[in-house]
Amino acid sequence: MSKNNEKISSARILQIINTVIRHKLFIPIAFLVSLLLLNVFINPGFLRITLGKDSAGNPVLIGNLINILSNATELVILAIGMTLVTASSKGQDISVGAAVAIVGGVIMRVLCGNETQPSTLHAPVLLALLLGCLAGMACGAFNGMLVSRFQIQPMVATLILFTAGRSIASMAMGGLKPKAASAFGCYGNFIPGFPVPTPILITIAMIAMTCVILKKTNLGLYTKAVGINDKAASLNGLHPKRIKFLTFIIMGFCVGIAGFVQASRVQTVNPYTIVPSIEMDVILAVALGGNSLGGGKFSIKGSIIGAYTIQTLTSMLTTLNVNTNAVPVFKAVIILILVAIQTPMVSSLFHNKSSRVLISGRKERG
Amino acid sequence: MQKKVLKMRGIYKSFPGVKALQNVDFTLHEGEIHALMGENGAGKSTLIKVLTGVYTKDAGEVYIDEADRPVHIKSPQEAQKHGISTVYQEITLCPNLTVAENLFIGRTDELFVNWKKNNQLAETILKSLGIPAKPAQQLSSCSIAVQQMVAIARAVDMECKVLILDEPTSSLDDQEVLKLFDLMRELKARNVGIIFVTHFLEQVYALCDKITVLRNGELVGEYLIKDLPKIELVAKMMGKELGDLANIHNNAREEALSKSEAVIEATALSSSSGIRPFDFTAYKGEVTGFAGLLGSGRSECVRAIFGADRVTKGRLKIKGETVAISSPIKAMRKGVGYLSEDRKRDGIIGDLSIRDNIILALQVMNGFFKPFTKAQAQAFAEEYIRLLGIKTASADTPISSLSGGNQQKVILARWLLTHPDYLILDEPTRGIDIGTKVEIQKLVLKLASEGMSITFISSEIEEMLRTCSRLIIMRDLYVVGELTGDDLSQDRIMYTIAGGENQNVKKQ
Amino acid sequence: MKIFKKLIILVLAFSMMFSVVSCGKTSSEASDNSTVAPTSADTSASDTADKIVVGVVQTNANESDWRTANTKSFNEAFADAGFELKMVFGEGDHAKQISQAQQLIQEEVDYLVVLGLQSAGWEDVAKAAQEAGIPFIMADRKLDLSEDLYTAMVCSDFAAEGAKAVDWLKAQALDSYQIVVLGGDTGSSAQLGRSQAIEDGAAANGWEIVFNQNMKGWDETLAKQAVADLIASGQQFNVIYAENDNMARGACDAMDAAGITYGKTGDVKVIAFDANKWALEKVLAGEFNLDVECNPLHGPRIVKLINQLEAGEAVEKNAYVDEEMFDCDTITQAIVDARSY
Repeated sequence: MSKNNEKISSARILQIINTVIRHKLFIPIAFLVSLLLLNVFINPGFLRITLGKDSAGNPVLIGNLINILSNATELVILAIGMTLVTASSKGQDISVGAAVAIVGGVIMRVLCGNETQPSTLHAPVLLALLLGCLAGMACGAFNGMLVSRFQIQPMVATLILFTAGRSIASMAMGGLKPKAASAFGCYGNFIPGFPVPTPILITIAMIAMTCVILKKTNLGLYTKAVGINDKAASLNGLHPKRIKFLTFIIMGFCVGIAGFVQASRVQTVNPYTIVPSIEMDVILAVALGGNSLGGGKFSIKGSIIGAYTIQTLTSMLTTLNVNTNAVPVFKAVIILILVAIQTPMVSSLFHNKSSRVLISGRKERG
Repeated sequence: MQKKVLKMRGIYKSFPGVKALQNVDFTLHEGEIHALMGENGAGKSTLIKVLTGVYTKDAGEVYIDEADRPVHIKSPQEAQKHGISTVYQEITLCPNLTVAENLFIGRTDELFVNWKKNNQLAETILKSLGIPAKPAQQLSSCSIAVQQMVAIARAVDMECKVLILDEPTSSLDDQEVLKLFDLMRELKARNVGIIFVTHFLEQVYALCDKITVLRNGELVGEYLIKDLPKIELVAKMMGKELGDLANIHNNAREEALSKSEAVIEATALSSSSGIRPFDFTAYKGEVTGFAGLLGSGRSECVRAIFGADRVTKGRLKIKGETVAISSPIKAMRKGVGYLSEDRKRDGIIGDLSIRDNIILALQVMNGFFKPFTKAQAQAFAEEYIRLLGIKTASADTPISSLSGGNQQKVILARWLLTHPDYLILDEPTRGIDIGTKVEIQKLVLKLASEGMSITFISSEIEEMLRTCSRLIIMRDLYVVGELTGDDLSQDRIMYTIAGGENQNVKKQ
Repeated sequence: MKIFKKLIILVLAFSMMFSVVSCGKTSSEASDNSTVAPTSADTSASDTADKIVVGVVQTNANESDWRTANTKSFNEAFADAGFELKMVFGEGDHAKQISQAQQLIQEEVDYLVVLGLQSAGWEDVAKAAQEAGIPFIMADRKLDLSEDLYTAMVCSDFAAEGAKAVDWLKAQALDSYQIVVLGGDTGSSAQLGRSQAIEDGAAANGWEIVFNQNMKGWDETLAKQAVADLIASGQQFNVIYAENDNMARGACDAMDAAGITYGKTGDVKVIAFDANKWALEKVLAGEFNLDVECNPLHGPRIVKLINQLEAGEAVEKNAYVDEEMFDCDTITQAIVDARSY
């Protein structure tokens, strides 16, 4: 009797394993976990988090994990917006880096005025945040208009801002390179007395907000419907153009928040070098999350996992002190592996194996 | 007796699950315009594709030029070598090249091309065929009709003996059609045999010498145009003999209708799709139908009511209230539902679950900020899965993995969930099994008895007769008649399709 | 008849081509003269009749404080000297710079000054300038050109800058050397020169380089995150060798956040390059130990050079701008105040 139970429970476990493996987020999560494990293997202190003190004597958490969580903030936030844009418009926004520069430029101008080294902030940070988000959403509206109204391919439409954005940012700053008062720094670093980096808190807030929006509105359903079949969606009363436009506005808001955090990290913005080539990392995060870059169904959870994967990889290449010329190659190889695993060919192989395990488990039982 | 240029005998072709062609014969003489007719799925395009080598036939023989030996055509290039050219509905030329370049490109093996000579040659060809285009003109600057003509000129110039025109007139206006006809007559005079595939009856009778009718992959017959009145052609395409079938229509339903209120009143409505202005009224508890051949404009009428095409003219009243329907959501809010004709393209949201597909329309009506909870959505889905007997393991299954009939039931569920006052079902039974068809017909009658007004469109006449109490008959984008009561018979329908007068415009 | 027509067309075409070629010849011949003797009395007389036009191919309008000061220096010096300045910006695009330079040659500027984004690929431009008789002057960064292709060079010697820092570091006589190298944009001559100097220095003195990677775009944030990662992983270091001021500041931010002391009184020595005014203030405050100057004030030197060429004097072909270094032990408020950028 007990033996029979045991057998049944082992089959049950196999079945659970099988469902887990078949889950669409299995590969992204598995990859992130294995990358983290690899880090632990290379550097046993990787998971260690210590409570230290910064030079002003405030408590701070120090550790690689903390760094990854904190530094991935911009990537995570942008990946949320990019996922929606990809799903609805079947293309990517490659202007996010330039748009972040514009947001940063606007924020610096608001906080510093025309001074280069102001000792106090010229305006409340909230106002800077607000104007920054507006600037980001204006960029999103521009891109969204080109994509939805003029039906230009997203890649091409956003190429315009990609090309001009950083120069616009420089103009917004009046050609200056100001450094804002250090009080602004707490949004990209630590709030004095609180040991968790603020960007982590902002990430949590953004993810929570996304969850609430997806739960409380039909954004998810509409975006998917438009992305999968916009003809059918419009015959069901949706306005595909408006939905696409909306996703670009949301992308713009994400750019605003990301630009705010980025500007606060060192309290200065160099429009030509801020977040270099981040657009490619963001698109990659979306792809690594198991999302199709051809639009349609999406998983924001997947994109967030993808963003953390990329940040872990970046951090790993730093701590390993990989030869600087080899860094891109290293990154490329790992991405290649990741993308290859997710191709239908490989994954079907994977699934067949797992179902074979299940069958053999059943045979044993019989 | 003129020479036979093409003889096809006993052609068979099947696809998994479908017998597309069964023992089909086809003969074409030189200098003959031969119409190939049939409803959707009759096998017209399969026959053309077998002839041009796009498909390989399963059995049968093709003879060219009264030769004794059959030829085996394996590719369109080979067909070309045998003198068989095809011009499709969509232009397959390069719009950014000149007319002359389009005429000659890819036809010579020479390394160097003497474009000056080619331009002169093109000039002569265009002139001789009366095509109003200049050789050096960019093709995209020509009208669609001229582009079509250039495509024909290219085909003809490649020493073609058999020219296949696949729906060449569907994107042309009346003037352009006349020009194309002139060109076709010119080619006929040059002894080219032309196979003309179209669904415009008028055009067939204006131009053709012979008609071959196919139905369900089988040959119905080959007729001289003068021996086959339109009415008989329609009967043959639909597979009915005149006066053969008894009127199975149930009159019992009609009595209450006269008293009931009008749900939809359309006056001189027309849309960007090209349909001519039409009047239409639908009453509460009534099942109406739009009948006509494929492409006659029956779908376009209901699309205009639903706001799926841009309404250009006319007035629409819903439940007595004049409304401006500029988009589907406005019609939906007024209680109109529309199950679209092409399920794959316009109906299902492929990768989404059955649940999401069922709740979609109601959800959109509900508004962006009021999503159903998962439990609500699940309850809706389960209710309709049970009600309509949708065969699926769970509501989470993607709709794309269901069979055609079950997909259609999901879309039907989507619209029933919105509880419309007026429901349009455009070909709800196409491509689904017979059991489901009957279920859907029964459901339509049940819904009507409960007070819903329904418009039912189908290519199958019996289905319409069984369900509809009033039929609007359409031909060539015009409403040509309306049948009720005792007039609802196959004979009357076919007669009206073939010969009825236009509702609004007198024919010349 | 037809053949005859064709023949005539052929002849006409040939004669036209020939005339174009001969035109080009004469103009280049004329300009050849001017290169041979750019200082001959007649040319200088005709040139001084109207303003001397100098075309400057700048890298980016505002890539850094340094660049801003650099651009400003050109504007001011040229205005004072009464030259007409035609400045164009490559904005990070090497190919764009090349075509801009070609365009300036077409516009027949009197002098062409190039500040190249990349050091390779300038041969054709230099040759074209030579053929057009336009003196070709390299500024800021040395380009890969043979000596006969350019007229003069006014550049920063990045390897020498790095060597200065290495000498200073050696003089500190630390017990051990664990160096973090924060490199600039991979492949730029500044990065190549400065990285090479510290790598050579470390090899010669037995120092340990514990980290050596280039930060995309000389970016402050990336430098900060890299140093934070190193600290978190427990990597020990006592020298930060940051190849510009911004990256040094980013590294300091990261150390601040982890409570690591640095600078004059701290555990970690911070070496920066470029010496912007704000960075010198940090040196004065004892936050940076050393800042090696990379002088952006090319304007006056180029003006002097052009005046010499105009006057027919011999010029120094390969000139490097004078560059100092500022040590936190010796810097004074006066030095900081004297800084204009």
